[in-house]
Amino acid sequence: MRPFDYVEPETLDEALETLAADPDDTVVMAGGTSLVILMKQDLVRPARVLGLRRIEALRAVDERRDVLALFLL
Amino acid sequence: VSQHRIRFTLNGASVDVTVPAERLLLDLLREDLRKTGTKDGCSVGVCGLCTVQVDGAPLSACLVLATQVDGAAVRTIEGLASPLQETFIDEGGFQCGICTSGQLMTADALLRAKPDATDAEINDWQMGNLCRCTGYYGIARAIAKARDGG
Repeated sequence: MRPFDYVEPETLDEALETLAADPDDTVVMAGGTSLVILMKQDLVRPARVLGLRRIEALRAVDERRDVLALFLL
Repeated sequence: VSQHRIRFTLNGASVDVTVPAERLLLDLLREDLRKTGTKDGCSVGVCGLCTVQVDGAPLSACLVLATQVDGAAVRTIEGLASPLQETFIDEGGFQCGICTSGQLMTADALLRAKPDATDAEINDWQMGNLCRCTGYYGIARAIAKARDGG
């Protein structure tokens, strides 16, 4: 796997800022079971991986809208 | 390349290491920490050889970045003490042995989560652990025997 930088923001705002600053070279990772394979196979070559595991707001089951949103981090 | 200090427990013992972002949990375990009981098979999360428990859940260590276990409790085959180890012997739950540590880590996670797992649940949970000798009946018997009290 190619080297990359890893960042783990603690808030959604921080995560969105990081993503907006360099959208082409940043990939977002939840569990990583798809992304890590793609990186191992050199199909995705990000400069930066943005991990979502510390973002409390994404640890939720959201039933407020028409759809059921599951954030399984 | 970012470096990350991570702290977690491995089989109950504290680990404090600094790793590059791309270090995989599997390589950290086998190469840095010399815990070679966890095997490397397909490397793409399909075969289950590298199954370890992270906070009790069976995961493929070949797809987990070491940074992702910061703060977690990791268990490997070296830390397993389960009746399953005896029942695998009793029932011939292995042939060549390459899949055994992964099979055991999944089966142990199952019996901790569901001590009364049905035979169907045993099959479901073990689906992610391939046995290339096709010794599945022995494995399933061994897990059922441990469930039933050995």
